[in-house]
Amino acid sequence: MSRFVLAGLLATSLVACNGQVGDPPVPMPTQPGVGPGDPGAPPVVDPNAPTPVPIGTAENPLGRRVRRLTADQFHRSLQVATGQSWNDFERFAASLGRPDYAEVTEQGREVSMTFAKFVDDAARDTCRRAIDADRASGAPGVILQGALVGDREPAVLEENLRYLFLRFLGQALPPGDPSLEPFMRILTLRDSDRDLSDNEMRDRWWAVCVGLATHTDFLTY
Amino acid sequence: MTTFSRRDLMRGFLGGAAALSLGPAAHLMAQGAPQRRFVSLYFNGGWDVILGPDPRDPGRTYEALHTGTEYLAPEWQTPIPVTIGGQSTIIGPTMRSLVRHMDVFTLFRGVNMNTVAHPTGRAYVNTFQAPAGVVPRGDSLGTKMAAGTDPEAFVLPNMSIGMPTFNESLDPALTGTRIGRATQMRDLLVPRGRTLPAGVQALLDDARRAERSCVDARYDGALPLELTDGARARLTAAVERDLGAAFNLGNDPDLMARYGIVNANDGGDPAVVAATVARLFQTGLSTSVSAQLQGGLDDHGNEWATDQPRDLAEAFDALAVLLDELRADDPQLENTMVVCHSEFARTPRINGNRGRDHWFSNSILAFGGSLRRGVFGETVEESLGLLSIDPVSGRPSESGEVILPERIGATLLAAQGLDPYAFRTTPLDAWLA
Repeated sequence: MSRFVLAGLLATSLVACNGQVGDPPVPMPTQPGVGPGDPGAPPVVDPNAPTPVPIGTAENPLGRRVRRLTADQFHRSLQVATGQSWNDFERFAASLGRPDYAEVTEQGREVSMTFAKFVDDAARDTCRRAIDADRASGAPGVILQGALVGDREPAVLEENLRYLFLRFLGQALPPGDPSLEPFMRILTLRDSDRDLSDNEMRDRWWAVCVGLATHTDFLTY
Repeated sequence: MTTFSRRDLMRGFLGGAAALSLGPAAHLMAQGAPQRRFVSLYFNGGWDVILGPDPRDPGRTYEALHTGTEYLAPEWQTPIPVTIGGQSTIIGPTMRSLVRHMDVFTLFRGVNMNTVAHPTGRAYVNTFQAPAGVVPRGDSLGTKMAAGTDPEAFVLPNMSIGMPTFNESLDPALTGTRIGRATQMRDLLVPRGRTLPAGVQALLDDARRAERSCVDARYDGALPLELTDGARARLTAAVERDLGAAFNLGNDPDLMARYGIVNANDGGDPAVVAATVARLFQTGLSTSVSAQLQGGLDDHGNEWATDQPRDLAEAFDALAVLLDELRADDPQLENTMVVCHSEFARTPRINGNRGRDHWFSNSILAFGGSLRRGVFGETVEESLGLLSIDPVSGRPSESGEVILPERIGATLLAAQGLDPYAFRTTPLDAWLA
């Protein structure tokens, strides 16, 4: 199979929500070698070139299987996303599936209740500290990058929410995308006419951060 | 794939919670006939069967076996005569507390582990299928056993404490939930650290219910969103029932006294492990529990004389109390099976450091289930070597066969009414009750 076709399929599989896993196959170029930067030129075949090692077909389900983050991947991803490290990680790493290479040699990747529990604990801890750090710094922060806890204007809230979707999930959503709505409800819903206090708004952003750090798309790839 | 039903889960959960409030003896009253239960208990490091399930007469000398009696404290020198399923035999002094459970005991002796390497043996007794090198093959025995019940009726149908759990071929709902130590049950059931205000948490829960994933229904594997939803539902149900206190063993002085627990925060104490296993059943959380009951048995040096009998006795004492609790609502363990194993045994000879090394001829202990009670198999009296065993009588026979763990695994599974196909061998039919 042409390298260009393989590269095209690989690129398709790496696009986040825009190229949904399970989409029908991308139409194949009719001419081998047709691709970006090589308009219509026939491939130059070197008869002395080594035969490529087969790496399997693009349809191979193993290569496209969705995987849960390993314990270490989750811990590091959370550090990158929130700027904070979960201090209890070493204590619960084995329960999150990290092998000890003595008795357990394989990465645990089950989406179990244990995983859900400790991921939630880690997200609550790091998200809260990230927001507290943002508030203390006064400058655009990690979570509160484009909004402050004093902001109530929906457009400002949504702008920061879109930034967080990009930061946590790698998803660049347009304004008004339906995926934003449940999180906008967290930020805007009130049970009375009373305005939310800044501390209440902090808790709302905290919940948004936890929701994204425990989002299925954050925990799988 | 199986979807998790909160209603089913609550049904099992409420029964368990009610039983817990009434104490173990009331479990039967609270739930009617008990659910099928399975316990797999692992002794890490390679146990000395001469001090436990396959002892010798300390008054005799043997051709290729050294009882080591002269190195042992008096309390560990003399085996105990018992009758198991009508057969007279002896068991090691470390098993003294188990004498009261001989009526539900099936002892397999002379099981060929085919290895003296820890990782290989661990993998073998995890699945009871020959591993590929050190890599386990097949599903954990506990996972197979959980397949015999409705996993949706339990929050944690297949629980594993301190040992890996595998599910290669069965329903994802049966995949084991693993914690590193028994004391982490509390951490699993109680939120750690600061929690969101209730109203905000409710908003977050709503957002999670509306969560979308990149991976949609056209994906031909298990959908990640369904898996996370299922895990969250189990977690929510567990947390809502507020069962964390049930695993705070230090708050139950009666339990502490029954098990002889000194420090409830010592997750490596066999008594804490055993009490946690019991609680998993009493709360209705689990139907199959696998746990490392004891560790540190790999005594190659002169610590063998003191540590090995002490550590074995600690574990067997804890096991005896666990069996007491399980028999409170299932006196003959008709719906309950408890299996104990180690990756291999220890050498019949004492080495130059006054310890024992690794030996392939092992024993497996089973309590309850639909098994014929008695002693199956035997080792060479003079050397703890392997013998061919007649699969019907369980006695040595030249026309018999050397028994492998697969054969025992198939028998255990068949005794629980399950298909032993995965073991690629037949059960010991004559030993099914």
